[in-house]
Order: sequence, then C-alpha cells, then structure tokens
Amino acid sequence: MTQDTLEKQQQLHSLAHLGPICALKCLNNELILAGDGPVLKIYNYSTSQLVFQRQIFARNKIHEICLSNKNPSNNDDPILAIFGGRSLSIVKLSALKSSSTPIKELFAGDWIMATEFSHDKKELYCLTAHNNVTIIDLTSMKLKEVLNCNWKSILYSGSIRVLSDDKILVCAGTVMDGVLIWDLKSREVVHHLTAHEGSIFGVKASENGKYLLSCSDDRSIKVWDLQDGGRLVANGWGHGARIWFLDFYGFTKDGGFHVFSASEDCTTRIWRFDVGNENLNQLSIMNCHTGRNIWSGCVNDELKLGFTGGADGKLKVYDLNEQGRQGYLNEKWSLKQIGEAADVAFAKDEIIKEYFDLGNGFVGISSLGKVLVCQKFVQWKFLFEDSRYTTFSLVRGFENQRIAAISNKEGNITLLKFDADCNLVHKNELKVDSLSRVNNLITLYNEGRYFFILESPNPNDFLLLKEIDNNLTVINEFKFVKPKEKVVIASFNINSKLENIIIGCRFGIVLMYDLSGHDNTAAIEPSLCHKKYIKGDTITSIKTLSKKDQTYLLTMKDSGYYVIQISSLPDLIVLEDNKIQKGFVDGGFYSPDADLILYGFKSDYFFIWNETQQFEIMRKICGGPHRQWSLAHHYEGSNLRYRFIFTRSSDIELVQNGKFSHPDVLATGLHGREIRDMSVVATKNPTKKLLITGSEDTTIKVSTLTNDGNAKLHWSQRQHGSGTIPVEVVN
Amino acid sequence: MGKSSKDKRDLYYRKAKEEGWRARSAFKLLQLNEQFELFKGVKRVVDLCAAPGSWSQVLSREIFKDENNSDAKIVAVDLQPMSPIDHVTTLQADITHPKTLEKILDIFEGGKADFVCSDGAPDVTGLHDLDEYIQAQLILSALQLATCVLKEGGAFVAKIFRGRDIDLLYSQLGLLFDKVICAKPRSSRGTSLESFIVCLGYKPRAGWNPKLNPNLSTEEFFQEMKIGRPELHDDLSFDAEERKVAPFIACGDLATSYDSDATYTLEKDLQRTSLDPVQMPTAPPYKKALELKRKGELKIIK
Ligand SMILES: C[S@@+](CC[C@H](N)C(=O)[O-])C[C@H]1O[C@@H](n2cnc3c(N)ncnc32)[C@H](O)[C@@H]1O
Repeated sequence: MTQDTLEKQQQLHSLAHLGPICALKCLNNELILAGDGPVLKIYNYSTSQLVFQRQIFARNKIHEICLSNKNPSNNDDPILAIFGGRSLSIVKLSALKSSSTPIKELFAGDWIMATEFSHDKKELYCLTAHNNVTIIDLTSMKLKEVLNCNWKSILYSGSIRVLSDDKILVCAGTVMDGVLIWDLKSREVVHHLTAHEGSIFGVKASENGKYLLSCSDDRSIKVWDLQDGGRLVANGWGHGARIWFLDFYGFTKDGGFHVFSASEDCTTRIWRFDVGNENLNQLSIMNCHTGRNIWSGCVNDELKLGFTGGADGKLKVYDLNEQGRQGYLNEKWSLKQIGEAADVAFAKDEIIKEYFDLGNGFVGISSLGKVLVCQKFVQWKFLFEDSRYTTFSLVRGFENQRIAAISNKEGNITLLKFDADCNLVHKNELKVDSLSRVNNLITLYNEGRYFFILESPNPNDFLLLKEIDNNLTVINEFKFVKPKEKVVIASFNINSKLENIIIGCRFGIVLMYDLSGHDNTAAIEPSLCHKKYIKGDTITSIKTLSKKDQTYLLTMKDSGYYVIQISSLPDLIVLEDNKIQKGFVDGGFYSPDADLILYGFKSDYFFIWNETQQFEIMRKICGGPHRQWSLAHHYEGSNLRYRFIFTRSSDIELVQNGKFSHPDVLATGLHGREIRDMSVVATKNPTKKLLITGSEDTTIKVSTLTNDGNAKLHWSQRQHGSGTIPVEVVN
Repeated sequence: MGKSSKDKRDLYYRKAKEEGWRARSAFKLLQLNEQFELFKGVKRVVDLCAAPGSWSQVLSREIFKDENNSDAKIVAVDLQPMSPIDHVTTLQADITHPKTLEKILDIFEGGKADFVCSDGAPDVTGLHDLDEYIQAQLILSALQLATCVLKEGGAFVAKIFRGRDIDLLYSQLGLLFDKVICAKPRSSRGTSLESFIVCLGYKPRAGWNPKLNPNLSTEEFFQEMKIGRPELHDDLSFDAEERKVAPFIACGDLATSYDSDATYTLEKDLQRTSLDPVQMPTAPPYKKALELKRKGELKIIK
C-alpha cells in the first residue's frame, strides 16, 4: 500500500449511524436523546431537527440513558448516565456537547441492566445482570460498593426506583423466577412476584413506589400493588409478541393511570388502569414501525407525548392526549337522539342512509327521504322531506365546498348549497331523462370547478358529465359512449382546461375521453380503454400528480396503488406500481410535504396510513368495510386534520382529530430487518444522494442521504417474493 | 415447531423420528462423540439445558447399555419441564442461578463427574449484543459447574454461537483444559451460527480449589479464578482482553452422514409417511395470549 492510499484510508471517518434505536429519553420539553447504535443523537421534537450527535462507545450499543434531573431547565447542566452492554459513561450535558472533552468508557463489573441517580445525586446505582448493584461515587468517580440480595441468577430486565435517601427499590426480572423487588439499603427481598410465565422482559415501579408494571414472555402486562403486599391487581392482554417497553403516565386523582407499551409486534398501545378493575383496558393501538421490534420508548407526561424507537431506526412521536387537543370531536348519535335533537319523528325501521361531509357539518338523507343537516357536527336540524327519495337515494358532494347533490333512480337530482354556518341557502332541481336509470353519481371539485358523472347500468346508455357553477346551474354537459367492455365506474379526474377526462372503473379498467374540440351535443367515443396495464380490483381514486407531465396516482381497492402517465394518447405508461403492507385502499392524497397518504379498511378498522414514511396516522375500530362512511381532510401547515364519519348498527359516529403541534416522525429509518444490499447514486444536488437499499424484508427502499450522513425515506417497494434483493442501479 | 417444508426434507429430522430421539439434536452429540470419543469410560454426566432431552436419551442408552453401572448417574437440567427418561434425574431450574449448581452438586453427593455438556440456547430477543451476552453466560454457568464437578481429565462440551466475544472465551478455556476445539457437526445446519466448543482433559487450575459458593454470581466466581474474566476495579476502568482463536473442525463422518442443509431424495419407504414434529412443543409461555386472541377477547375498549 502506498503512503498516499494509506493516508486516504486514514481520512475515512464515520459520519453517522443509521440503525436500531435502543434508547430514548426526553431531556426537556423540547429535546429528546436517542441512542442510535453507539451514537447519541439529540432531536428537537418541536422542529424535528437533529441538533446534535456524538459517538459515545467504541462499539457497544447505547441501551439506556438516565438523567440526574427530570425536565431540567435551560441553565441546568444535568448529568447523563449512558450505558449499553458492559459500557457505561457518566457525563455532564455540557461536557457531552463539547467535542474537545473526551468521554470515558467505564466498567461497572458486569452487563448493566439499569442505572439511577441517588436521591442527593451524589451516587449512581447500577443494577447489573447478576442482580448486583454497583454504587459509584460521582464526586471521586470511584467504586463505592457492590450490594446484592443474595439472589444472583441472570436477569432479563431491571429498574431502580429511588423513593428517598434511604428507600430504594431494585426491581429485577429473572429468567424463570418472576420478579424480585429488593430494598437496596436492607438488601432484603420485599416482594417475589411469580404470576408471570416465562422470562421477565420489563419491570418498572411508579414514581411514588405504589405500583409496579411488568411484562414477560407470556405477552401480558401486569400491574402490582406494592403497598398491598405486592398483590396482582390487573392484567393487560393484547400484544401479539413480546413487549420491550412499558411506562406509566397520566395518573388521575382517583388513583388510575395510563400505560404506554411497545412490542416486537411493531405496535404501540395505550392502556388504562382503574382502581378496582382487574383488566388493564386497551384504549388504542398504533402501528408505526416496520420490520421486527420496537426497542425503546419514553413518555413526556407533561406534554402528553409518547416516543418510540424501532429496529427500523424510526423515531416516532405519538399524541397521548388526542381527546384533549383543541378541535377534537368524538360524537355518536342513535336515530332516536337525532330525532329528538332535530324534532322529527322517524318511522319504525327508518335509517339515515347516506350522508356527505360539508366541512362545517354534514347533510344526510333517511330511507324515507327526510333530509337533515348536522351543523358544526353537533347540532341536528331537519331541512325537508322529499318522498321521491324514498327507498333509493345517493348523497354526494364537493370536498370542502359546502355543496351536496341528492339523486334517485329516476334522475331527479336536488342540489343543495350551504353557508358558513351550515344553513341551507340555495336549492336547485335537475331532471335527467336520457338515462334509463341512474345508479351512480360521482362528484369532483377541481380548481374552482364542480363536475359530476351520472351512470346507468345499461351499456347502451351514455355516461353523462355535467359541470355546475357556484349557483348550482348547469354550465357544461358532455355525453360519453361506453366502451365495448362492460364497465362500472368508480372515480374520475378531469383537467381544468377541459381537455380530457380519465375515469377509473372496476377491474382496473382506465377510460379516457378527449374533450377538446367537442361541443356539448355530440357523443364522444373513448380515446383510451385500458385493462391490461392496471391489475386489480376497483380504482378507488384518481389524483393528479403533475399536470404538466399528465401523471396520476391511482389507488386500488385491493391494497395497491399506481402512478401512471398519459402523455401520448392512446397509450398509458405505468411509472410505478406498488402495494401497501395490508388492507384495502379506498383513496389517497399527498401531504404538503409530498408524502403519500392512503386510507381504507383492514379487518375491523379504518386506517389512514403515511405510505412514504410508513406509519399509521389513525386507526378507528368501526366494524370493517361494509358500511356507510365518509372521510374529510385538510392540512393546517403540515398537520393533517381529518374527520371520519361512519355508521354502525344504525348509529352514526364521528371522530375528528384535534390540533397536534408536534411532528409525527423525527427520523424515518429504513427497514427494521437485515439490509442485504445497497447502492448510492449522485443527484443534481451536491448535498444530497439517493440511497437505495434492499433487505431481507423483501422491500426496496429509496431514501435521500444528506451530507451529514442521515437518510430520509421516500419510497418502499413491496411485491418481491423472495428474501434477498440485489440492488443495482440501472440509470 | 411445526411441519415446515424444511423439516420435512431434513433427513436428520426423519432419522430422529425413526430412531426414537426426542430431537434431531441427538445427532449432534452422536457426531461429536464419533469425532472425539467423548463417551469412552463415561459413567457420570451432567446434561445442562437438556429439554426436551435427546442428549440425555443418547447418554442414557450409552451408559446403561451394560450391566456394570452401579455408580453411573445422569442429571439433566432445564428451564422447561421434561418428560421422564430412564436412568436420568431431571431438575427444572435456571442454570445461571448459583443455587441450581449447588443442587446439582448435592445430587452427586460430593462425587465427581466424567462429562459435563450444555446444549443451552436462550430465547433470542433480536438484540444481538444481549443475546450473545446471555449465551456466553449459559456457557460460563456450565463451565462453573464443570470446574466444580469434573474429575481431572474430564470433558466439557458446550454450544456456542460464533460472535464477537467468542475468541475471548477460547483463551479462558485454554487455561482449564488440555485441548480446546471448536466443532461443527454435520447435522448442525450450516446456515446457523451454532457450533460446539469441545474441551478435553480438564486440569484444575494449580493452587486453586474451585468451590461453589451460592452467594457468588458466575462472574464473581471466575474473577477469583483469574482466567481473564473482566474485573471490577476501584476506578471502574476497562480491562484489556486477551483473544485466541480455537482450531475449527467439522465433524460427522463424511461418508455416512448427511449434510443438514442439502436436499436428499428420500428413501422410498420413508416418502409416504408424514411425520409429526419430533420435538413436541411444551406449552409456550404465551399460550394464554394465543387463546385469548383466538377467542377474540383482545379488543379495544372504548
Ligand atoms: C436446543 S435446546 C436443548 C436440546 C437438548 N440438548 C436435546 O437434545 O433435547 C436448548 C435448551 O436450553 C434451555 N435453556 C435456556 N436457558 C436456560 C437456563 N438459563 N437454564 C436452563 N436451561 C436453559 C432451553 O429451555 C432449551 O430447552
């Protein structure tokens, strides 16, 4: 090796670590510490900025971070005890941040399970894997003593709770003998809790020392009352695999509290403990990590925020107080309640059949043609009754535009316009005679224009496209000849210059009609009818991606989505096709940050999913897909506000999220399984490169790699059958 | 363990079923014996991490095949319960607990053993460093028992996973045995990182009489023995580690043994019978969780 290459080699230094996040700790109400392999990172969780990173250990991963002050103010300089494996470092925050101060790696006698500062912060207790506590004097940084309770088997988990100067509880999770709680000063075992099966993977005592949370190989969470002889007071069942993180938060005056948990099953769950209830009730499930395992978590009880770090390297933020956020709504009405509120008498068996979200309320129609509006989503009002809409009716409208349309089979269409307070201000009637029967009405609002298509089941009938203006008057009409194939339409999009219209049908059929040069009278033949490119069930939505390039996003009922381009008729080019992990896709849209958001149903719940960053935004148990439902959304800055309305056994229920002013994700991460191959491609931007990775999870991911060595995920390509994926850059 | 296609194709699995072993692991011990003559003159054995018990079965058949075995003894220990095996004393306990080792010594009533083996493997968590640490602790616990119970010249075999800290262990074992070899039986899947450390000719450390003290953890026990385990110092500093690589041998007679990763054409009469898993799964700790899920009782309450 020449001197030259040797020198070059020596200049190689590590920039960043992208891998499993095994430790998380809130430093204060703005900053969170994350252990990413041997590297400690600090993120600002208001701005989602990575503000600091430094390698702590030569090779051991950081497993936990412990702070001398909880929630220190800006001028405090807390001490951090950082450990992983057999390595321990004890540093002041200021010293950590000054790169000229070296960080010493210490050894506390064995593998470390937990550390905690003494009440006066002059000592550090280290619980090690054979159930010893090594006490370190922080002034001299010397070993003080090693204490034990005369039980020295291997531990799988542990924690220390300092209650006062001389009341210190050591909580030890053993391989097969349950949980041992011993008193550090007396070295006596005070509780031996044996109701779990298998190895104990987590134990934590509450701040006041009254309760203990534990979890084991049996996949349950148990709550114990340490002030009542260590009695088992509640069980929480639900996780589908081992639980790696557990913590208390949200204690209430009645003595109850919440539990935040994260598991190998890649879900995070919220539970509620109420005194006297032997079930730890599961309040919500969130699925935000990919691959295997969520390793770490932490809770900011004051701001009611949860955080998890996964094997996928993602750092996810959760709102632990959704109900308390401004704008949150969760309403449920039975027909009886609606009748009383709106002062109408419903007949026996009458139901609200269809409804449309107007943005400031929603309008619905009953099976006997009673039209009602629920103003501001709280106040029901009866509008009118129209017997023509008995038995069959459709209610559609224009997203966030306060205009709705009601139709029956005979082509009687009533258009309704509402004001800002959701009062009906205008009503217009249309009659369509050219269709033998109307059984489908699909609407579209696009750049200030209102379109709808009417369809009949008769293949010889035309498809009718109408445009109305703000005053509900029809201003444009087109007739389309149906293709030879039998089609049932489901979605459409039209460009605002009225050049062409693209229609999505069942069985993946894409139809296109060229509108330019046609007047309103002649019937237009399809310029394109494709069924070979798009595979799958119904095309549930069509969104314009780029007007210039004529690219569209199509979502498919059977969990796929496509990006297609239709620039040179009569051909259609599939640019991308992909599948989400699971579930049915009923639609999708892009966020202001260009993240692809998809929504639909999976088993018994409705979900909204960030496909770009791979996390669940919401999950609502509603009984599954076969029901009346509506989803409305808009963005406030980069925060998604959504409202989901659904019918369940004749009750109507509504959930609307409130304002959440924190980012959802601090680090997007990668796979969560072994990466088998990767490739880096230069881009036009000198500070950014494309990172393409293939993993044993059978997906390929595309991320941008910035000059500081961090990656942001953009695309996850599924559909590969086998385990190994070689990645090679084609161009 | 279900009937995955891999199992169905694996000849060792079928052979185990035919020959009446509870697990295919039996062949690993048999092949190690072929190579190293481990069973020669062996009467008194401790089988650690023994469930479901195929190694104990092998040992029991070997040791009790002749009549002259009045002082023979086999003790098998595992976290999991084990169904009885002829001539084997079973103990359900955690081998990392010093008190478990004390119980085993009690069963030997002060006598020595000829052979200590451990096929221990923890339930992997997926945190590689923790898994490696726990695995190393299982080996250390087995070794601790071996130093207390093995006669001079006795043998010790333990399962290892090739990983970061393993060469360190070789150096330490080298101080206690005449010969230390890392062996991979043909019946151990090439795709797994598993191999076995075979230690022959136990030589107690000069001037040191290993005595089990249930108040000392495994780590503390070895610190006193000065074989190079990391020590706790007053100033909390890290010790430099000595590393040494053990010779590596693949064993199992190449002519008659099968490679566990290869696919073989099945012998005709074997082809038709579908076999049940040899290792009947004992109830997993999460049995109740599965039951509740099946009954649909894991619901969100709101
Ligand atoms: C591969 S199996 C042994 C198979 C056995 N040699 C046979 O042939 O049937 C590994 C065993 O190690 C046991 N084990 C793991 N950790 C243990 C511990 N701390 N104490 C005792 N047994 C343990 C497991 O319960 C498991 O049964």
